[in-house]
Amino acid sequence: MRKATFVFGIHWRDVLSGVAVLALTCASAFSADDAPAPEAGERALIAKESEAALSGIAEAFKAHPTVRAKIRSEIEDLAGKRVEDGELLLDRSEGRPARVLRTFAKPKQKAWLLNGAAISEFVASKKTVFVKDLSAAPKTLKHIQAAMTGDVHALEEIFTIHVFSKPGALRLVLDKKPKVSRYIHRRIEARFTEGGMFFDQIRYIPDEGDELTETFLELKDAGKLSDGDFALQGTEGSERKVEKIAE
Amino acid sequence: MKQSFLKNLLSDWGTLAVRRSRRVLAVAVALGVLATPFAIQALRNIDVNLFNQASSELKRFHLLRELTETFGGDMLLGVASIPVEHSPKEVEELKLFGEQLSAELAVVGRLDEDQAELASNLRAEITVLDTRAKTPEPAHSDTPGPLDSAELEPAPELGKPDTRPPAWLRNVECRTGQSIEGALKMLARQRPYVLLETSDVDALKKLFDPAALDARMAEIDTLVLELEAHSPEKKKLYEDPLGILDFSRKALESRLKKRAPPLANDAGGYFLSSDGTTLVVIGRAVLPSSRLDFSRALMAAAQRAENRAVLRFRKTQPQLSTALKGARYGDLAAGQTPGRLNVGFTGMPAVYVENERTLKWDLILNTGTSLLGVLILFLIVYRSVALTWKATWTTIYTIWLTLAFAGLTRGGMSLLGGAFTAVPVGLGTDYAILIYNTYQNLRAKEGLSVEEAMRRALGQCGPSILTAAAITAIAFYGVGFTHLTGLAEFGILGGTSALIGCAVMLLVLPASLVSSGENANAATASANVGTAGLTFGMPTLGRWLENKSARAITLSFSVLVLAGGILFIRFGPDPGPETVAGVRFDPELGNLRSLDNRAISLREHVGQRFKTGLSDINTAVDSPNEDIAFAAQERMLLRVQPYIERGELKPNGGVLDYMPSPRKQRESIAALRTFDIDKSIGNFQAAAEKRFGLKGAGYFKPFLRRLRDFKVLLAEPKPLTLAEVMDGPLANVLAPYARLDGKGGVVLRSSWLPTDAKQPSQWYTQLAETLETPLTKTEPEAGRVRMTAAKMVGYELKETTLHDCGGITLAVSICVALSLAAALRSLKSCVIALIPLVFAYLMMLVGVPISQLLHWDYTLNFVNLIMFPLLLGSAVDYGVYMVLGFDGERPPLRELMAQTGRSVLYCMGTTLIGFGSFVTSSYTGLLSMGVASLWGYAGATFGALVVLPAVLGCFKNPK
Repeated sequence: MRKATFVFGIHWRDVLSGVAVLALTCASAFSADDAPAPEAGERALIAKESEAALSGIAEAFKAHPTVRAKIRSEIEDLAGKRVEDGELLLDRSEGRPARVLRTFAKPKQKAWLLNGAAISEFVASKKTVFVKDLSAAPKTLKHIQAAMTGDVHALEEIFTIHVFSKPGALRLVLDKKPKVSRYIHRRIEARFTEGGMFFDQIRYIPDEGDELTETFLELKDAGKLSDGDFALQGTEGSERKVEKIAE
Repeated sequence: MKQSFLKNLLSDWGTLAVRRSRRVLAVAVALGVLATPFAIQALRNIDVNLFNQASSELKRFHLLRELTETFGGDMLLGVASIPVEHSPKEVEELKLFGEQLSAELAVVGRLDEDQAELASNLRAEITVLDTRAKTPEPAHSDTPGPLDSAELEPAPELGKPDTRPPAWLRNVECRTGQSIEGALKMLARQRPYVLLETSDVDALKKLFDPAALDARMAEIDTLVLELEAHSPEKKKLYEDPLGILDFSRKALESRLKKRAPPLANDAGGYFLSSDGTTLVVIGRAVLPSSRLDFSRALMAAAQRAENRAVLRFRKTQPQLSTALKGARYGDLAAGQTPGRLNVGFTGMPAVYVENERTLKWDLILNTGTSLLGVLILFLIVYRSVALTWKATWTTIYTIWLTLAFAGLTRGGMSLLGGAFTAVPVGLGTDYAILIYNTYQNLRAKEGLSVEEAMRRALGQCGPSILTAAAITAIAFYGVGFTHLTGLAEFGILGGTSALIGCAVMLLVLPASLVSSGENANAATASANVGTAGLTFGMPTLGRWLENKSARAITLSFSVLVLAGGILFIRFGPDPGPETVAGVRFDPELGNLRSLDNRAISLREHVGQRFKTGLSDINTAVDSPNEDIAFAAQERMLLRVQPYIERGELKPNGGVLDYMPSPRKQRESIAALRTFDIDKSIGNFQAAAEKRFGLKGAGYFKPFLRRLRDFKVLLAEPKPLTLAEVMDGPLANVLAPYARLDGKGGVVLRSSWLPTDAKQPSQWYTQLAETLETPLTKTEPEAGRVRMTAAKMVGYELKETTLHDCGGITLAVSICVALSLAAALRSLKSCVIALIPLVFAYLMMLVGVPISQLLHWDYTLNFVNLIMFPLLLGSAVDYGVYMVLGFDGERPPLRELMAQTGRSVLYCMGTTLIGFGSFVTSSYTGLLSMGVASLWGYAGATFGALVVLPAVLGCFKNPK
């Protein structure tokens, strides 16, 4: 293992914080240059109402500690525009660190796993599992875990949160605070149906780089999950490259 | 005539002391009161600093002291350990704790609570040492360089002065290169070429070759599809598509690999023992450990840092249990029980602080023990509480006045100097015994009045006491010439206490003896004859020795003991590489320590777990300028290379770990000048657009931005000089390894660890010759290399102590010979009087192989070596007493043994108690001196009370 607090000017903890908030984001049609405004039929909640709404989301997530869902990911990156289909497996049970597994089969097989204090991703062509060990970066880990459990308050350190409501649904807009690293997404939008077990849609707009909209479908309670459910498949014989992230 | 004058003077004083006993005692008390402030000063300033116990005239010692005082840099080790039976998870937790402890130790001294513990003068001194406060040189660009990190928490922002208080520990790390990594990244911010070698530049150029770029873009095209939308690796691909970081990383790793600290057993470079039980965090103190006021504050702050780390660690909900420390150094807080993870500190700062804590009281308790021993001896022998009290208080009074002398002349005393108390207890009480015995005999046998008895007693034994005290003082003052200044101080204070003790016993004790009035009449005196003392079988032994066959048996046995002892020394257990007079000698200076010192036992634990010594070898390169200094340093590295290849030495830090030499930098700059960045950027953009279309280059904007910044940095490249680094924020990191004198002169210090902690002196000598031999005749121009190590200091001390002991013994021998000649006036008598000395020396030497055989911990060392001249000064006395006692009236042996033999036995008893009580000391130096004196005086007793009477019986005709 080696310490990799920076990579060619990239700060892993910032990158990872950006990754952390992914789980909260959902897409909506808005212009990132504008201040967040209510959409048709929506109303901007005042602070007290926002607080109650966020608590409601947290309660809803708490009621469903494990979630299984389909992911439809619309991405535009260096390789062009495309749609990817995958699956989300989430375990945010109390008393243990959050676990998240994102697997995609099309167009290429890939997997991303948060388990305890480590993020692992498997790159089949390189036969390598890249592991980021966050055990020495508790702040970043806290952001990620907060995102997984729906603790939006924990993200207020880096985002200004606006909440919009319309009957039966909420929309959260997280705007990056000034002086926060450029690796954190400039704006994130998350849509939530009241009583849902996870966000329905997430949209992520960066300062520069890939744009992404993820839709979560067929959300269901995953019941009791084992360690085996959170194992990266097909990694036998692969090299593990572990980087220790420090703050 | 002089003796007659002295006799009359002392006789007159005896009369006066009886007549004006209360006034004499009042004057004595007044003197004691006047001495009090100085005595207390001496007690308050007991110096446990080993560096103050040797003379600066010693070359290796002088350099070690100079380096420690100039560079600071004594290692402090935080040691975290878990039980032998543990899980892999617990090892990971141990590493995590190590990281947290490193982080906390790195800020020790910066916190308000730490600063509050330090005196203002020390704070100012540390601030002067810490040049970080100066404004660092601005970078060529405001944006981070391509090899840059803005991650370094301790670094101030460029262009702004660092106003934080300086840290007290430098280069804190628990894994390989933790401090170097940050330092190199910071250097790279200003001069990227400090990381790159010419081969790296060649490889860099190849990356921007159009064909290579096309291939890489194709690879990226595939990878992008394989990486998850929010993959950190995908981000990295945009930021560093060509993996340029790998150059700096490889350069960094290569430098770290060269360093390869002996403690780094773990695959991740952690300073973790191979059995996974012990993890070490290392830092270097900014001031020498010998600055006890600083070390005290440092260790208290380190303990607070440990508690902060424990609290942080607990938040991670680990399996390993931990305990918090309390206010007292090294002790657990109330209610805490030891956890599975235990933490302690070792290294010189911790050793010094613990030495101070344990040894001061140890010395005082040791003196108390010996006084108690003498008190019990007097009670048993004389069965008189009053006499015991009088002998005891006059002895304490002698010690008190000697302490005042130490306070007045030196302001304090060293630990070894404090051992002088053995002299008044062991030898001063002899004078009391002699005066009392004579006085009582005169009163009882001749029925003299108190006044007349004291007058004649002082007249009779006063001159002998003065002569004995003078000989003792000469022997001790002779020790004052040794290069081991602690021992020298012991000699001076011992000699002074012998003279003061003599004065007190001759001037004050007589007044004390008669002051209570119990001896005011002859009847009482007669009654006291019976309490003149137990005989301990001395007359019986004398009677037995009067028998010819008994003498033959005794002498045969004595010859056997002598011959057997010599043969045993010669052919007994292997004494090892370091010997004195054929027996084992311990040259390890570090072995002179307190047995109660937890830091030392922890150091031994670390040494065993890591299978390496922690006593480093230091080299210093002195040169008139930086270029020469670096050249000399590089030459020295070449010379030391064979030792590294043979696995005998491991590098433990030097300036070249942090920055390349000016020569290397110039080579890198020359290579970088051939790297056309504009063309490379053009090639990259073309390849990106060719593969991904016009948008392609847009995704790599951050990378292209950094390449342009890199070009700015390389616009006017010039080597980074040591002067620039030492004037910037990295000064603190490099301070343990480099020092500039402000006039261009440079001293570079390097540290090395021998893998075998038991290398003999020849190995060190050979290494020193290898490193120190100048290449050219114009040495100053080539840079002078000097080398030292605690072990070398030990060997050097051994040589000088032996040399000193030889000289001192010779000088004392001459004095003793003159005294013997004057007192005995016969060569035969002189030779006979030396018998106790011969047996004393023999037993002291033969005790070493016997201890070796029985696995007892007794060898000769720097401290107990000094018993040779001391025995010469005292053991001969017993021979003289016996010969003189026989020569006078030639009494039968039973009578000689009943009178003189008994007195000699008493004197030996007190001497054994005085010196032998050191065996209860926790300081191994004093302890070994106690053991040596037990062996030596046991031999002297055998020689004086068994062999010598037998010889006298053969050569003389008893009447």
